[in-house]
Formats: sequence, structure tokens, C-alpha cells
Amino acid sequence: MEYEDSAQLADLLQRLTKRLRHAQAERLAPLGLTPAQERALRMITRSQEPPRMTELADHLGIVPRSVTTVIDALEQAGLVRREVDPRNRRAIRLHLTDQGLAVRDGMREARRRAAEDLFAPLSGADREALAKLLGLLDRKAEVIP
Amino acid sequence: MDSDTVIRLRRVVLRLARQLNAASVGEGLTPTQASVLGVVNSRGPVSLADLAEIEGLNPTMLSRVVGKLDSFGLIRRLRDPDDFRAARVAGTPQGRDAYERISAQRAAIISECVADLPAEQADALVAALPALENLASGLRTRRGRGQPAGDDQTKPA
Repeated sequence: MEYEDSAQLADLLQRLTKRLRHAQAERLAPLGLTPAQERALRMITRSQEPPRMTELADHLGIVPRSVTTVIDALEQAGLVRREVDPRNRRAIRLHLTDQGLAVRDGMREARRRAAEDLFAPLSGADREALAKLLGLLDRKAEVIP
Repeated sequence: MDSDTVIRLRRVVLRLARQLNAASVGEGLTPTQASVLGVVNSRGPVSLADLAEIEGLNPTMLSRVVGKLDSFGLIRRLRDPDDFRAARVAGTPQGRDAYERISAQRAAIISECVADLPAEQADALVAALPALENLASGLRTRRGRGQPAGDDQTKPA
């Protein structure tokens, strides 16, 4: 592969990512969440066990006071509830409510739909081939420090 | 549509794009700052309204990014004395240099990933570039799904 091809592929990956984020933002808009609330919900979703506020702050890279604002809003919307950790009475852990679980599913669906929109112009075979090729590239990328 | 393939494609594109972020970090810029710098360099002077739209950033966030890039001397604000909202930003020579270094670094990251691929797969990647270009430009090149081909602007690769 020539240098120009590598430069073009790098540029394309960034532009595709931007388009994907655009499409996701549009699909997520009806859920009425701020980007910070979305990130907080996703982190709570992915966490092995219900996270503590401090863990959430670390993960999101924001100060604990800002996390409090985000969680207050999510709690008020009925998506998250604070519960005392039975193993450590001083720790509060964050749980998704049933409504929070439904919104999480809605977020997943929105991201999937956005990706479908983006890749719709490709045939199924082309999508499969592209996923495989880029997957090989990604595996190489992982081993580069 | 095969959801599983689409989800894998989404994941791999985002992961590769994240690897490329290392190039902006090398210049002391966040990925968002590097992205705004890239838009200003490739499009020339651009209004803040257009930048916000292109980057999907809210005005507060954008003015923070623009302020940083301005303070680094990588872009400069062009003020329109008649219309405050029409404020635009333009690149500087230092900004162009930084952007070119970032682009070269990104290309190097990709080159390194491709270097060890079998020739056949590297060729397949090159062959896929036009199709990727269409996707990135938002061109519709549907086929094989029963849609009339009349609206197609380009042929699929």
C-alpha cells in the first residue's frame, strides 16, 4: 500500500467516525439525554457491579461534584437510583431502574440504527468483506504500543 | 440487514479511529481539537456556525476548543465588525504545519498496520477505498436490494 493510500484510509476512518457520531447523536436525540448523562448511563451499564460515584467520576474524567449533578438529573428522570452498599454502609452504589434499563436498550438500538444508516449503501457481501479487512488492521493496531 | 456485521463494522471503525488519535496527542492536542484544526485547514476560513454543525459540537464546547487552538497560535479568529454571529476562524502557518504532522503521523500508523498484511489483503484494502470514500461522503450506492439504480451517482467498487 502506497503512502497516499494509507493517508487516505486514515482520513476516511476519521470521516466515517464523524458521520457515525452525527448519525448517533440524531438517533439518540429523542431520548432527551445530555452527552454527559449518556456517558454516565453507558458506564453504569458496562460496569461489572453497580459503580460508586467516585468510580464514575474517575471513569468520566470529571470532578465528583459534576457527577452529582449528572446523577441527580438521571435519578429525577427515574433512570438511576442510589443504593447503600450492603458491604460498606458508607458507600453509595448506582443502579439502573427498569426504566433505566429500557433507556439503555433504546441507546443500543439508536447506535445500531445509526451504523445501519451509515453502511446501508454497501451490499451484505461488501459489508462482510470490509468488516473482515478492517478487523485484520485493527488486530495489527493493537500490538503497536 | 445483518445487524451483527453492521455492529462489528461500527466497532472496528471506532477502534481504528481511536488508534489514530495518538497522532493528535503527539501534538499536544485532544482529538476534538485536532479534528477542528483539520476542518479549518481543509476547508479554509469557516464560520463558527458551520464548524459546530460539522463537528457536532455545542457552541460552548466549540468556543472552548477554538479558544485553545487560538491560544496555541494554530488558528485565528476573523471578526466581522457587522455581524458578531458570523464570526469565522482561519488557519495559521503553524496550524498548517501541525495539521500536516498529524496527517503524516496518522498515515504512518495505518502504514504500520498494513505493512505485515499479506499482499492480497493489502490490495483488497486499496480496492475498498473508493467504496469507503463514498460512505464517508454520504453518497448512496445501494445495490442488490431491489432499489432502482437510476439515482446512483457512482458505481460500487
